[in-house]
Amino acid sequence: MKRFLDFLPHLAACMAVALVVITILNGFNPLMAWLTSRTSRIFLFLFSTVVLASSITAIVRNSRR
Amino acid sequence: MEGRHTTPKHTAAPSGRTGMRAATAQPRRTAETPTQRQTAPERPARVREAQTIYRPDDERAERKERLAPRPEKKKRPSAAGMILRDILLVGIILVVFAFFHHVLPRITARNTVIAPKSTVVSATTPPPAETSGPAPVQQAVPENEEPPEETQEPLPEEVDLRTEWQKRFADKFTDEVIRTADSYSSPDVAVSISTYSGEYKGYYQTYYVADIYVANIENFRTRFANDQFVYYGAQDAVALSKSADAILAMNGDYCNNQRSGFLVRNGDVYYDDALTFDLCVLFHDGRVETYSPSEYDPQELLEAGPYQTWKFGPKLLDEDGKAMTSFNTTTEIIYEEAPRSGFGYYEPGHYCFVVADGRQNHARGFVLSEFAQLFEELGCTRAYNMDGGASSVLTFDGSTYNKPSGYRQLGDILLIAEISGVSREEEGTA
Repeated sequence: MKRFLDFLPHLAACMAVALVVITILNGFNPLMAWLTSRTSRIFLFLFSTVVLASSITAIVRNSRR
Repeated sequence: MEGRHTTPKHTAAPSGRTGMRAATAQPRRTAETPTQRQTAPERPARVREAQTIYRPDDERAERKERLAPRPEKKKRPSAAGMILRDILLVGIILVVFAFFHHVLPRITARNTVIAPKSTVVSATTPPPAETSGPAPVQQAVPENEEPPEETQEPLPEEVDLRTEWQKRFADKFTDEVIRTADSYSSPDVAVSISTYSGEYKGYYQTYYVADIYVANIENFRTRFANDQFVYYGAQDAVALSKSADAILAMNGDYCNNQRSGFLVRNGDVYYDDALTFDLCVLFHDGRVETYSPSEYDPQELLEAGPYQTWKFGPKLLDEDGKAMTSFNTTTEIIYEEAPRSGFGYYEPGHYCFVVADGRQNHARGFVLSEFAQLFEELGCTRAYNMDGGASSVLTFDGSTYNKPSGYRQLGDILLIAEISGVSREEEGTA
């Protein structure tokens, strides 16, 4: 569990970078539905979940400190 | 001399484990009798402490502890390693995303043919003859008896069987099929392609303008790759135009990579949702209108009798036929010089296909504002941008007419063909 919690911020950062890449691609060709497809919506949901979990973990650790 | 019994560690480390041991040993020292305390000579404090601390058991335990294998400290990865690992993770995420976004839909939808929802009936098309009721009984004719001659009413000489558009563009059509390297004319279709190669607005450009006149709206058709509306379906441009017996064909809007929008092709309705892109509609009466997303209602449009719709865009001319200066698109491609394809409209029955080469030595390519300007100069009243880049292809008489910047299979084409479906071979023998 501790390993997973340590890995969460890395996962959030990587997903954020991937989202930036997808947003840039969408700027070049919005017709390919980079941000509006079903896959994109699922990706955004997962990203939000990971960021939320990572934030909660960070807040709990800070309060313990 | 009693100090010899003590180990250097004991004396040097009063704190920690040994310190604790010293604290636990303190009550033993207090067990001495008061007489002993009085008779015993005064010793230095350091020696006294060492004496009280020393225990053979402790030494053994300590040695054991020292010899015992210590748990290895976890190696923390270096910063570079961590960054590399994260970059690798980003790559994996992008690959997984691309798989689910691009590859999997193609695999699953490969054989999914989308049938039209309904068919738009043209207001100008006469209704089909009623076939209800008993079929007419044909009277048996004796073998020896000659059938009575059918009495046909002679057509009055004044009746002109030509369509309205044939009359209007009479000088464009010919009674027989005449075909040259860059033109085609018949009783129903007249196409002539002009190639412009040279300096245009300070840059070397090459573009092709196909001037089109049709006698019937059915001469202007569209066709999906492999003649089926399949998601992500694609076919070679020449093969696609040949399969449709197209005289002239241009790439379309690649509508089959989307599963929504407002899509009507050859009168068949596939989708009737609102769009966020500009829409181009060719009606059954030959009119062409271009709409911004806020300018149309799908239901009203369906009632107006659309024959073809395109949903790529943006529209290039405003209501007065002037080149647009701002476009309804978020893509950065409009600012780039690229090969372009566009559809222009003059009046019902008179249209043009414009294809511009680009990204090559002989042609820089157009930015969208220049392309819009070109349509204004051609005198079009409506113009609409189609898929561009390597998709920009113009075929004439079964071969590629322009010089595409790359090879790309097309999802759909706009084409001009004879209604009768007379193939080129048949025409040649006629």
